[in-house]
Amino acid sequence: MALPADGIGRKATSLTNEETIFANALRKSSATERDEYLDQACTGNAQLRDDVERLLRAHDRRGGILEASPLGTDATAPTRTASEGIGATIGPYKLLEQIGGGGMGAVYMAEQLRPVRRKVALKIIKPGMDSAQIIARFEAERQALTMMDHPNIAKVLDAGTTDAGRPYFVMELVKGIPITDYCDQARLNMRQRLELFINVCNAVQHAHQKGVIHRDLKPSNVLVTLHDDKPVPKVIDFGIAKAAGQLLTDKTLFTNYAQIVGTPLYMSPEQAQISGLDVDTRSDVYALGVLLYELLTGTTPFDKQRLRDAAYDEMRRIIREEDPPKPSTRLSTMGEKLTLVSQQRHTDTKHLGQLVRGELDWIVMKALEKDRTRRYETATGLARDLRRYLSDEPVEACPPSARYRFRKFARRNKSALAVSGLVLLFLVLLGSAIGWTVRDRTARQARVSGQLELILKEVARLEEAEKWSEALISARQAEPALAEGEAPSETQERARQALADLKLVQQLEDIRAKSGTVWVTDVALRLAAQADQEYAAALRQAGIDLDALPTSEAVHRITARREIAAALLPALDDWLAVRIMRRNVEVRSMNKDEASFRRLIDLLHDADPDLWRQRVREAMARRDQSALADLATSAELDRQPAATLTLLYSALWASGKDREREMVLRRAQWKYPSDYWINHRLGVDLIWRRKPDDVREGIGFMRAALALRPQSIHALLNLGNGYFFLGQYDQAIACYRKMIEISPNSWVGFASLGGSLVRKGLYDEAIAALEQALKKSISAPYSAGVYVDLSMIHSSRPEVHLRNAGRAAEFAEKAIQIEPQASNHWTALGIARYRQSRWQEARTALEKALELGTDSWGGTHRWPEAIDWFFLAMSNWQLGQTDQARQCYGRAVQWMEKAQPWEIDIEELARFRTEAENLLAVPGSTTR
Amino acid sequence: MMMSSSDQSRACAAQVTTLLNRARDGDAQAAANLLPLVYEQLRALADRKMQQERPDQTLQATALVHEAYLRLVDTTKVQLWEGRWHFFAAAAESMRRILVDNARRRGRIKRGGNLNRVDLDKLEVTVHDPPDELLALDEALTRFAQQHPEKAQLVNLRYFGGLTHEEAAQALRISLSTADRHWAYARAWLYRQMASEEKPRH
Repeated sequence: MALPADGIGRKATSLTNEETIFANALRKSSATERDEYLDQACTGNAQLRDDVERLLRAHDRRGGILEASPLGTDATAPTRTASEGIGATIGPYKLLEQIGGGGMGAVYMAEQLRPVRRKVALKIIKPGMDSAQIIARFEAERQALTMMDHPNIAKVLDAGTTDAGRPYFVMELVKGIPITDYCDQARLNMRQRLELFINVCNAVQHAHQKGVIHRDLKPSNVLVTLHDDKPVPKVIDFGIAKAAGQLLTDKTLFTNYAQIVGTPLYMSPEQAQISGLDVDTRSDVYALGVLLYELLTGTTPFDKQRLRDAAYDEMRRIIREEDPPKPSTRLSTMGEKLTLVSQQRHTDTKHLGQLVRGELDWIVMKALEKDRTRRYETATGLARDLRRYLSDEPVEACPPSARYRFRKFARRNKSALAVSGLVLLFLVLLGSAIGWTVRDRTARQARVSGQLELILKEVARLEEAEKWSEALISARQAEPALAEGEAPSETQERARQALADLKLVQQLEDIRAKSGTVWVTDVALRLAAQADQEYAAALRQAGIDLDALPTSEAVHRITARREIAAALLPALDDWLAVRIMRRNVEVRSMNKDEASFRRLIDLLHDADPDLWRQRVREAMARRDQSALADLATSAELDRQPAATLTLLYSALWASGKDREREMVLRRAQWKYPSDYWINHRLGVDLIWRRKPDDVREGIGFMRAALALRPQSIHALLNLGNGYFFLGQYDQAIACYRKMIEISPNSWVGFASLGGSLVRKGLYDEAIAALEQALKKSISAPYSAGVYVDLSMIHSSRPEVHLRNAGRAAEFAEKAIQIEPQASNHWTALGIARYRQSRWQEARTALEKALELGTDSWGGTHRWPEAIDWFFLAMSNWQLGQTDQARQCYGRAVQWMEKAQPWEIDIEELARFRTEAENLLAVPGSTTR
Repeated sequence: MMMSSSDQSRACAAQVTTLLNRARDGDAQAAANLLPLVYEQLRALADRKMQQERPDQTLQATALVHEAYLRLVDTTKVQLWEGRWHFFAAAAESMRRILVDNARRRGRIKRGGNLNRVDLDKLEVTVHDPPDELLALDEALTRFAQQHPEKAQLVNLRYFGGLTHEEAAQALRISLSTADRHWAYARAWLYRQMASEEKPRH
């Protein structure tokens, strides 16, 4: 082997030499200087000279493998050549003068040379940032950015990289000054300031509707220019903070040495979190709140100096936890500066305080809520409230109420409140004791209203924990008091509303639990169609009729129910998934429902501004399989809230992407082990695979779900099914009985209980339970299953008193009437006809069962094919066709040999086999 | 009852977290023990990704390291960068092995022996770098590491570990300007080495 050029044998000194000479040569600014240096440094060592020259040539190489890491980071980023300056040309742009500089880089006024000649603003991102990713992110958003067209938004025109590899953005040139400076210089009064600010809100809303979040709103990004002496605000830098900024927040996750884009003064609490990733349109609403605060008071909610001096973690803590003073309070503690601030607002110190105190205080503080669910949902919401204020209408924002304070308290003292249930009981007892002695009307009123308030508090606590069933049970305690009608009407009204809301939630959750369980089969489609109608009906009944109301009104009615929004929105998302599943499969229903389908999407977009979820919805509506797959494998997935993951799950379900669906669910469960729906869905998915290992794992998740909502009949049902599949009938029966206890009017519990009792050999009890199920309002695809169970009890049990071939045939026929394409219905009829000694009809039915091959659940409930073969064998035998009979018997045995253990672990199968063997006189092969 | 896969990954995560904290406290054996765990996880993830519809290596490698990190490290317990960088060192080394193995396999397929044309076509479309180049880089890097272990580690962290230049500098406890210098030299050295290897090969 030849020694390589830089082999180990080389002396250490020359290695150091090579490195040093190479580094020095790089610093020479021209080729001649470099050559001179090399001549001198490598005197008398031609080899060294050659090595270094080759190094230098290698250094100049572009586009080699090292330039782009397979991991997607741009390896060339730190190559710094400052060739960008005044007079330089970057692409089609010529830099004219620097007009600004900031955290992210320098801004130049530039002249675009082609295709049109015009002046633009060009922002060059400073070195050290990852250009490839910035550009990639920008490209991802480019389409959304080009769709923005609003007089108060400066358009982003282009982006690219300079020769040195630094990213740049090209924007519409705005010659203006920051809005706060403008307002002070022009001494705008409060009304003028608010008018200007409302324009800014509308611009931000426009961007949000196009799917763009600003993320870095602050006065220097809201410039005011004069058009015919009229001030026009322009929001600049849309899309840029995202391209450059998200990257940084990404990085914090890895390195924890956080870098912050822009100033923390305008940063929302969620942006200041460690992960700092979960940013949505409401983060912009927060920043608008800060801007409004500044327009009113001349200062930001948190003191600039204090944030600057605070250590990084302390700064983040302040943003996340400290409540800033109300604007009026801030003004009153301003001291001398107040005079100037008042003058700039064209008023005096006394009036300024009065003007701001009250409604303006509330509006600002609502926009600045730490918990974004309590902020204005949208920028327009904020603008609308300001409009109301300006036209002397009552505003939506309100001072913190007692209830609100309680909820805040509840959040801080969760464990202390665990005893509140006991307190409630005690007070109810106390209340009734008082009731005995005091007959006075007002005292009774006070007692009732006290009870109601306590119940409402408990309900609020449970709602906050999203324990809907439990909240409903608590709310139901208010029913007697409501019937008495003696509480003050306001309290009553709230209790009534809470009760109605929770009943709605229960309804929606019931629909949801049923809708997503099976993938495309006829039954699944029928269930989806049913869920579709039920969703529409439930919402219509609650006053949210999507087909009758304008979208904005429907959005308003949904967002107004804040306490249950956490349940309403996912239900609406599930509805969307159900509709899309129908659309994907039933071509015929497409056109008719298109408009109302679109309305549902619009509604969700407006009611739930989360960008990620919007992306999922759009991808599912477009049937964009690859976009869905991308979302399902995105690295960002782990940072999404549980609601997004469940939505993504539904989307994948609706598109039949099973593998991704499972992956998303497992990741979601890993991240949110205490989310009810994630555990529920994962449990159901696994349990219905029916393989023992899967079922056991599924039971684990289902138990977790049940622990989270002990009163959930859906968790109980599926847990029971899991035990049922494992053959643990006692546990299954316990689950179903508990279900019946909670919800005695539901047929599901009875039907499932009946099925388990059959397996336990408790036939009389089973018949009673199954008949109970048929008496409740059982829906079609399910009642078929109950009929089949009943038919089988009467046709295949050895017990004499159960035998009733006529009834068995009747039940089987009913099942077939409901679902003629299910093989097991025909099997049941075949057995019944055999018992009636109608051999020919038995044979026809059994052949039909074999021909269909699938059951009403798309295969999951397919009965062992061997049953059909055994009875076909016996029917043939009775008809005298012994050869065929033996053949059929052979098929049955063959099937059993190949089957999976859990497929043949059915008591009846062994009995049918013995029966056939005895009839056909096959020599004793009863072992299995 | 069987141990579920989520239990397993949780147990694995706890182990990795402990190892990271021990490595941070100077336990060399802990750092060594980390590698097989991280490697296994990354490979399992990689295998799964490759089975999916778009085996686009370029895109998914980032996700892989991110995902492995999130799966394996309890971020609430490993706050310190010194603890974390051991993870990325192990991840970089693991990624390198996975990519190199993958490139070798692709190289074999390319030279015939694999009859499955469909698969071959799919690979051709999605492969970002020619596998030969990656293998050449791997060889050159191994050689470079014998003379300049620290500089080679810088390349490893940035190229295979997905760290940015700044992060890699911090992980190696060198200043940014030193890192700049090292990177320029390493890059030129590796290109030169790869160029000199190309010719005799034909």
